Amino acid sequence: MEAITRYIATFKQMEVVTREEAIDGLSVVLNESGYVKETFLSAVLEREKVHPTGLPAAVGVAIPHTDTEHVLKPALAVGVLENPVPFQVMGNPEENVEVKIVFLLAMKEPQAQLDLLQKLMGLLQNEELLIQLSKSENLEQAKKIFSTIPIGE
Amino acid sequence: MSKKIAVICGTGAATSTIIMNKLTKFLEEKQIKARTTQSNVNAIANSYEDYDLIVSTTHVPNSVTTKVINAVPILTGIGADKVYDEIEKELNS
Repeated sequence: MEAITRYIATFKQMEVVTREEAIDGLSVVLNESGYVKETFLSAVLEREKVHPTGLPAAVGVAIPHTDTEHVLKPALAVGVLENPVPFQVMGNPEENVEVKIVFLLAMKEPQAQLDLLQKLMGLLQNEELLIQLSKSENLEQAKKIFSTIPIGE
Repeated sequence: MSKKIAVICGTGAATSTIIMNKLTKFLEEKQIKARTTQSNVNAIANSYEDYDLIVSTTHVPNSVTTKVINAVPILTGIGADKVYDEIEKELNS
């Protein structure tokens, strides 16, 4: 399996009502596994308010993240929401998007994680893979999908 | 003289890295000479006058009077061509 999948720390199917719950549920795993500092969660939630990360891709997604200072090791936590929840749209906070997949990003050195970011973008542009991912049942299946993503154009 | 572009997002880390990468390739392909700098929205609030164009994935405050182009479509691929056209037009103006 490709090196890219080493970043994927967790995959969760989640039943949540708010975006905060979704981010919290993923952040807990990153914190417990030593990827991020205690301050990570509140920093992500704060940043999401000011700079929302919802993206109206073929399947609604969000890529919450925050400053690198709150991160110990780079990681990606993937959450598939049983019932989509609204996130504000990146660059256009007056609008909401119903989000089905949350990619909580812990970035340490963005240039070093460019491959991860490019893969993520490739995924955002691939409806079929997004749908497959939203139907994944475990981390192994999710990793398999990530390893087949073409780099975004 | 080549124009100066700031590529920004909320943190200057994640999405601006992607946009920077895509924009650099686009400029090379089109043989457009421009200087690109990666930054974040807080820094740009004080330095916008140094740039001819701001390409952003996040909302930029109205106090910034430099032309801002919303680059979110480049991330999703939906409407990306329109954004590239707009950038090209702005750089050729």
